Amino acid sequence: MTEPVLDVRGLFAGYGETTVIRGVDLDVHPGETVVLIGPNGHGKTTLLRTISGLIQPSAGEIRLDGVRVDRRRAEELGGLGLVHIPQGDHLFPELTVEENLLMGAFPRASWRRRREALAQAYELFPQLRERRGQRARTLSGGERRQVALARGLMREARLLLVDEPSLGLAPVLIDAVYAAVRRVAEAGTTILLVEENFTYIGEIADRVCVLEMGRIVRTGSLDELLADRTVAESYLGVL
Amino acid sequence: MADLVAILTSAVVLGSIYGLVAIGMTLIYGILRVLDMSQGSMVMAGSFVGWAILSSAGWNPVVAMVVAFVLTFALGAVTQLISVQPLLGRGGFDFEMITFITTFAVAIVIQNVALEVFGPRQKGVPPVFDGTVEVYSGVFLPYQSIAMALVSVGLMALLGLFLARSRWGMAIRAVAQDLDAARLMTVPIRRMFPLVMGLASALAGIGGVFLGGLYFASPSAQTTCTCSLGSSREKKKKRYPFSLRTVGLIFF
Repeated sequence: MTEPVLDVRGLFAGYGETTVIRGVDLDVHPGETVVLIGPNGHGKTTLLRTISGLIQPSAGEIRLDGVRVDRRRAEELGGLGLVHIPQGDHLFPELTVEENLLMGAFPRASWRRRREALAQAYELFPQLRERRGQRARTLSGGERRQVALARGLMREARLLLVDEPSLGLAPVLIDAVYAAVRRVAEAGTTILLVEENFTYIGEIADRVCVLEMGRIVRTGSLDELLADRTVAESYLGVL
Repeated sequence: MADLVAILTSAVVLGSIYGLVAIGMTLIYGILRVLDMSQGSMVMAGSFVGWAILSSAGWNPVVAMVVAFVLTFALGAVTQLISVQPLLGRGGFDFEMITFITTFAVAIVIQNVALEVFGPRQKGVPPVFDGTVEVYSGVFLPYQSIAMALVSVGLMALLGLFLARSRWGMAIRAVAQDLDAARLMTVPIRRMFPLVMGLASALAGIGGVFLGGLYFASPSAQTTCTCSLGSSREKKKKRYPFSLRTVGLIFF
């Protein structure tokens, strides 16, 4: 098998004295879309934040294309092709929509191609073109999510981390968001996506990992997991 | 009428220079959440640069400003590196309060170095530009003041342009609004912080060259300057946490 884009081994991480991630092993291969699923508060977001360097792990290894990155900071990792679309969007509220998008192209190499990237973003989310001069804080929830996604797509991603893109959106908007994610995945981008349940991931997940109590307890294709009684019992309620 | 014109013109001139110093403080607070108490000592350092260069004959005012800019930029960046940078990302204490104290400590050091080097006596700084112009019957405005207002307004405009239009200016605004998101956009915050504090200090340093000409260069200028800046910021915006407000009271 090819070398994984992301390779996580025995990872422990948390906040201060509290350990949230307790020995996670995870790999994501080129072109693959892996969905990380699990209940609230079991460490999905913390795992993504640790992978992208916002949190320093207390033990374990993270490799990006075979290179150890677990001691690198978030601002360096972005330069290695890691793009993290955080939970709750984290837009820059006082910057305009266009400035928010341009921030996505901040690394020098991407900055040179910012015009093309902007055009592409507006093509993917036409609504944002109308809102380009508007401050991000004045947008609706759905528009914000679009900006967050578009900003993440402004530079070329070796690995794209997406944290609960459906959070707080009306179902019709969620469909639109997932249509965008699917297009990105079909373009060949490697994706690690976090979601709370199985509802929306059917069409995009190549592989699903279940994260409970800071550990990956099951891995398999969506069908395999749905056939598994214990998993089905925990998550079928939402199907 | 003449009095009114005189008051107005001097208010505008002084206001523009205070604005230049204060804008640096705002920049630092906005980005680093540090109430930088060393800003006043940058004004003082700038005024001594002005004194040293302008009082030796043949030195050009532009040279004085450039030297003040470079020196206080370096001083500001070093101040950040020793008094703020080591505290970044560490939890368990009130960051704003602690950096208030550490930058104040640096200010005391700078003040005492100035005291040791230049002595306690006030130095008259020759005006950057000589001569006056009569703006109204009986109201004379020194060229110095006009230059002062022009330079500070010009610098503020340049800073505004930099923040509004450039890639790094945008990144600075982004850092002030969401630090984690800015890091995810690969903004190298650890390199940016000392540069921003250097820039803010350099603005104060240039302000010092002019203020020294208006008053005197004196090691104790720093305290007065920082205190009045600290309390005026306090009044302008009400959203500061309790700790800062208390500090404002103690100092004023």
